Amino acid sequence: MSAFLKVFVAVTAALGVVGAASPAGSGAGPEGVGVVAIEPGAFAYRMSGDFQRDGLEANAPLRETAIAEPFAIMTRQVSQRDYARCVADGGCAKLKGVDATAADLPVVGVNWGDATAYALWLSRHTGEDWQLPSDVEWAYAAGARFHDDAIAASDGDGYAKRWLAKFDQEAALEKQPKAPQPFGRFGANERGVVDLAGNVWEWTDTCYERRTVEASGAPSEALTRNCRVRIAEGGHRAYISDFIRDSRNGGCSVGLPPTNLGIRLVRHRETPLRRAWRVFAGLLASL
Amino acid sequence: MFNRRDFVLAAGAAAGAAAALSSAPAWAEEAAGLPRRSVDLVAPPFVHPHEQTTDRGPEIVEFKLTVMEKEVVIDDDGTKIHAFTYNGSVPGPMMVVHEGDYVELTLVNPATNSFDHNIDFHASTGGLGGGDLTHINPGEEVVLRFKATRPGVFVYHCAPGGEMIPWHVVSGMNGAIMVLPRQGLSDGAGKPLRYDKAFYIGEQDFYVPRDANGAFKTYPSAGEAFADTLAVMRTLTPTHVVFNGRVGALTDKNALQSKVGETVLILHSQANRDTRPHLIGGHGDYVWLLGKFGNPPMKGLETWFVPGGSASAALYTFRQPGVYAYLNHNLIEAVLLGATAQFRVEGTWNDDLMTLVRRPGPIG
Repeated sequence: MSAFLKVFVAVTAALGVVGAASPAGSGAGPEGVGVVAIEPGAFAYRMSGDFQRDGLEANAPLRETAIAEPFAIMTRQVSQRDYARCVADGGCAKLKGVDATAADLPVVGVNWGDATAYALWLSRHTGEDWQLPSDVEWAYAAGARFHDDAIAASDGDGYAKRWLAKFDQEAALEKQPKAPQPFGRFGANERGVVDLAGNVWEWTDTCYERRTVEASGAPSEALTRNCRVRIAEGGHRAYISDFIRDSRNGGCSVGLPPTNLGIRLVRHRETPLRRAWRVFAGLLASL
Repeated sequence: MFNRRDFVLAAGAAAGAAAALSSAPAWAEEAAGLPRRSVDLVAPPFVHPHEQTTDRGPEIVEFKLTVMEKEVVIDDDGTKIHAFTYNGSVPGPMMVVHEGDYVELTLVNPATNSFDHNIDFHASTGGLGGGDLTHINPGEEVVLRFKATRPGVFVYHCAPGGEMIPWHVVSGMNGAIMVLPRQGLSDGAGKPLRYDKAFYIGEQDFYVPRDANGAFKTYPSAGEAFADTLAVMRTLTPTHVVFNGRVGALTDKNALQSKVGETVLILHSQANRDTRPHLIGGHGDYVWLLGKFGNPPMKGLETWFVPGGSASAALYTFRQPGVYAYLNHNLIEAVLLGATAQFRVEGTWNDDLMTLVRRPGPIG
C-alpha cells in the first residue's frame, strides 16, 4: 500500500468513527473483552520512582491522589488471539510463541513498544481511545491487588539496612511459574478486574523518575526522568527497559524481575484535543 | 528399551575387583584397631559439624551414601529431570576428614533404583578412585575404605563406565570431600586460618532436551531421556548451570546468611566443567587455587578458577553488610543459566571502605 493510500485510509477511518466512541465507563470492549468501569475517586497512592530525603534514600510518599475522570479498564489482559489480529492487520510486531487461536491466554513477551503499538492499533480499529494505563490509574483500578513497595525501614536507617529490608521483602514475594495461565486463574479483585498481580505484569505508560521528598513531606518535581524505562505493574512494581520482552532474566544480581510482560489497556472519555492528537498519531503510525 | 541389564559389569572389571579385594588384608593392618567415628552427613550448602584442627591420631571415619534416583525440578518454570543423586541432593553431601584418616564409605543402591552405580573419589589412591571396586546393582551395597593421604577439597562422582560416566555426572551424581591438614588451614607462612562457617556450593551443568517448540521435554523415566540427553550433552552447551541442583537454590529466601566480621569458607566443586567463582562486592582473602591445602593459598583474589573435575576453597571475612552475589563469572551462565547464589550479610556499614559522595541526580 502506498503512503498516500495509507493516509487516505487512516483519515477515512478516523472520520468514520467520530462520535462513535462509547462513554468511558460503559459498554463492552473490543473483540469480546469486557471492561470494568472505574469511577472517579481518591486513594492513598504510593508514588513511583526513586526518592531521597535529606540526602538519604527514602520511601516514596504515600499521597492522597484524585482520579478526576472516569475511565474503563479491560476486565482481562489482552489475549494472544487479540494480539495476533493486530499482527495480521499490520499494526503489531510478530512475536514468537503467540498462538492466534488462544483466546483464553494472555499475550506475553511484549515490550513497551509492542504494547503501545497494540493500543494505537486498537484505537484505530475501534475508534475509541485505548491507552496503556498510567501507574496511578493501574494502582487505583488494582485496589487491594496493588503491591505497596515501601521498604519497612526508616528513611534514616542507612543504606545497608534498607537494602537488606528490601531484599527480604522481595525474597518473600512468591515466584510464579512462567507458563501463561487461562484467564481467571488468579481471580478477580474487588472491582471485578481479573488476574491482576498473577504471573503476567502489565506495561504502564509511566516513566522512571527521581525526586526528593521536601521537608513538608511533599514530593519535588521530577529531577530526572528516563522514559526508556517504564513501569510494569503486577505482583510488584518493576522498572523495565522499554525494549525488554522477556523480563525473567532482565534483573540484576539482586531484585526480583517480573515473570512475564503483557498488556491491559484503559479507555478514556475523549476530549476533542485528545481526539485530534490520536487521529494525528494514527496518521503518523500509518506512515 | 533401556534398562539395568545394559549396565552389567564387564567381566574384566569384575575380575579386577576380585583381585584387589584378595590383596586387601595385607594392607589393611595399618587401619586395624584405629578408633572409629561415624558421621551423619548434611545436605549442601551446609557442611556437617567438624573440627578444624585435631590433636588426635588418625581415625576411621564412617560415612554412608544412599543412591537415590529421583525426578527433580531444576528451575522456576518447573523443568524436570530424572536425577541420579547421592543421599538425594545435587550435589551429594560434603564429607570432612583430616589428613591421615581413613574414609570408610558404605554405598547403598536400594532395590527401588533402576541403574547400577559406583563412586570414584579423587581424594583416594588406586582402583580408579574406588570406582572399579564399588559397582553395585539395585538391591546391593558395598563398603570401601581409603586413606586420605592428600589435604584439600576433592570431587567424588559416579563413574559406571563409558557414556554412563558423563551421563551420571551431569544427572547430579557428584559431590566433594574435604581433607583438612591435622593442624588446620594456614596461610602458608605459619599463620593459622580459621573459619566461622563453611558452605559447600556444588555447581552443576544440566543438558535438558527441547521439543520442536523449544520447550523443555520431560520423560517418563531416566532411560527414556538418555538418548536425547546425550545428544544435548554432545553439543557441550548446557541448558542450565546451577548451584545446588536448581536455579535459585541459594538466592532470595535461600540466600546464605552471614554477618560483618564473620569468616566463611566457601567450598566450590564442579565435577564436569570449568567455572570461575566470583563474589560481587567481596574477594577471596585466601584461595587455595585448585583446592589443595598442601600449597600456600593465593591472597586477595577477585575471581578464581575451578577446572572441571575439581573443587576449590576460598576464605573470606565479610567487612560490609548487604547482599553479595556469589556467581560463576561467566555472566551468561550466572544470569541466564542459573549459576548465582547470594550471601545476605548483617552488620554496620563502613563508610571508610565505601561512601556515596553524591547521590544520583541531574548533572551539574
